[in-house]
Amino acid sequence: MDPLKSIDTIARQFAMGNPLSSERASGDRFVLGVTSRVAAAIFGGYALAASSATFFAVFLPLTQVEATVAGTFLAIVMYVCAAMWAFAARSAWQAWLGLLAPAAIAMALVIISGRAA
Amino acid sequence: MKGGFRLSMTWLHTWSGLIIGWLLFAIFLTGTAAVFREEITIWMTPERGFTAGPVRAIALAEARLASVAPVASSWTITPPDARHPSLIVDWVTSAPDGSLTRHHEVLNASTGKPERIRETLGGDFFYYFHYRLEQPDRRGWWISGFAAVAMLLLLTTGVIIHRRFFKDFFTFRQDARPKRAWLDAHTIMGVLALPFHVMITYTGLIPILSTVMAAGIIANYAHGKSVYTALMDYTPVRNAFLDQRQLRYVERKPSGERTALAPLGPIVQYALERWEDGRIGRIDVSNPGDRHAVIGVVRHIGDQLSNQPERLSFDGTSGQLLASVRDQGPIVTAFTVMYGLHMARFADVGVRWMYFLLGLVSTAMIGTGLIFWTVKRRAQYGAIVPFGHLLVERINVGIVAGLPVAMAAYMWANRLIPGDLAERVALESRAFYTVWAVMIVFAALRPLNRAWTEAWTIAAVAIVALPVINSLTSNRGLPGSLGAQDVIMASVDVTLLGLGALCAFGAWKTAKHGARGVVEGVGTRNIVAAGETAL
Repeated sequence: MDPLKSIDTIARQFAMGNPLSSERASGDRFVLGVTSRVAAAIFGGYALAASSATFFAVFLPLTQVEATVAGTFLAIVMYVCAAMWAFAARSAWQAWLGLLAPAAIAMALVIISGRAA
Repeated sequence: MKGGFRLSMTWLHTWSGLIIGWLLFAIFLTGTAAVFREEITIWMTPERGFTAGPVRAIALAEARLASVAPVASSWTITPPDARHPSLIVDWVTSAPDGSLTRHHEVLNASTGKPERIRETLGGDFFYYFHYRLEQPDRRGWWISGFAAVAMLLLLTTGVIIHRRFFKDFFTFRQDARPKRAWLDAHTIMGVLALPFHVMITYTGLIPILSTVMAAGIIANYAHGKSVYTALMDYTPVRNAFLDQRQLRYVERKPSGERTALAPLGPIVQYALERWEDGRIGRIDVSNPGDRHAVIGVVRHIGDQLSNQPERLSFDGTSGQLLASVRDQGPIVTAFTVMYGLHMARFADVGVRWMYFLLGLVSTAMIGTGLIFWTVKRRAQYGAIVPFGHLLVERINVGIVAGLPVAMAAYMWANRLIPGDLAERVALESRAFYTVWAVMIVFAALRPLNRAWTEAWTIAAVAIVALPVINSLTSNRGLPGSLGAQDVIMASVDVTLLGLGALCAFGAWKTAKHGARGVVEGVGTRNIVAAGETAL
């Protein structure tokens, strides 16, 4: 069997019943959109989780150790929510925006405050 | 858009479940086995003797270390306890050029003489595989950490897509169409043990958290270094954090001046009085024989929920107490307690069994989810099934039924490889990987419905044979160990028989339902034909 055709079958199978609104059109656009969302969930999600860990570690009104640990706890929750957002957002662009914008704001606040060691 | 949200969460659950499900299955099954890793280690070293009480054992270890390594870089003494009946001494010596040599001995705790036992990782093999995944550096930590986050995502989306969360609780349509039965099994196990799934997954991230989510630590403890420098040379940053948590023990550089080490007996007595009913978990001495020696006494990890037992540091010359280290602050305590909840070292036998059984439920939930994925899709295809789908079906067999065979092979290898062979530790783990690979290939080559039955049969035979091999290759076989009340040995054998029976049940079930069970509606011949067409 032609391997390219086989990949195409998998891609169509992947699209079967797919509810991601902007990628409902099949073909290249679908694959691109899903790839982008997966990347947003993994990397954008990690960026948001790491920056929220930083934000809480610096701003929580606790001792430095306690704030650091609490921030890391919250980061896990953020990561999971971020991954869900990446697939719930209306488009892949929106998925990225919704992850990177809050991450950037959090990091900006940390840098402006000058409280990071 | 509420329905739309649930649909996209269903989609996310389905696809991330497939992609990460195989890895999660392996992590959960080996992790479940690791609940009994001490017991598995005992099973795998049956020549190990029984030993005496800890106080006398420590005195014997002290005498042994003082004779083999009076001056050393460090000593570690692990006294026996109920789960782990051996006295272990480790010591590190340093050559003039600074290179370190590690030594390890298991002592007979009535004579203090070293015991000759085979080299093996024992149950620790499953434990290490469970989060290191046999990867160099800390890559395995990242992969398993990522898998844990994906598992949390799967649990969350799984709850979201179950609108009839409580009704489904009482629904198991065993005799309905197989597609339903698989889904119901997956849901019941998911819902029934949901608190355990969430607990074990979230707490599973705790031990690796300071490595895989270092951002907060870097922000507070990099002390002027750039983020890049802090990431590249992370250990000092992490140590600064641990210093503030006061988790690092009293450390002193050797003075070079030789002094006799204070006797351990009075120090052990002091610790036992301070902890009232407590036990001693470990004693470690840095720079024994040097004036700057420090003696650390760590409380037994089973004495508290937290994974951070109290540690006392004593001056190695005078025997005076220098410092005690304990948890500080509610959030740090939450951290160490969650760590402890994952490791289950606090657990007595009953709780340990609960961890084991719930771990099996988690594993089965993942397995049924993987099978449901294929069964549901199979129904949507006609006679022509895409190659990708066939591949997923086969890999499912190789992972779900193949991994138990590989784990049994590891334990077979333990008994069949001669005890004095130099490479035996490596050979044991090679048996595991080789057999797993063979099972995956085997599953790919057989017709699907037969692949399941045959793989489960192989697993059942391989596991049930283990107690037989045990009685043939050691003098602690099942009938004898039951009579001698050799509880740990007998329990491992009986548990293996139970697990073998479970696999046999799987074989019987798949044989009975055959094509109907795993390949809804489509006759076997059609599948084979379709497979050949697709290939």
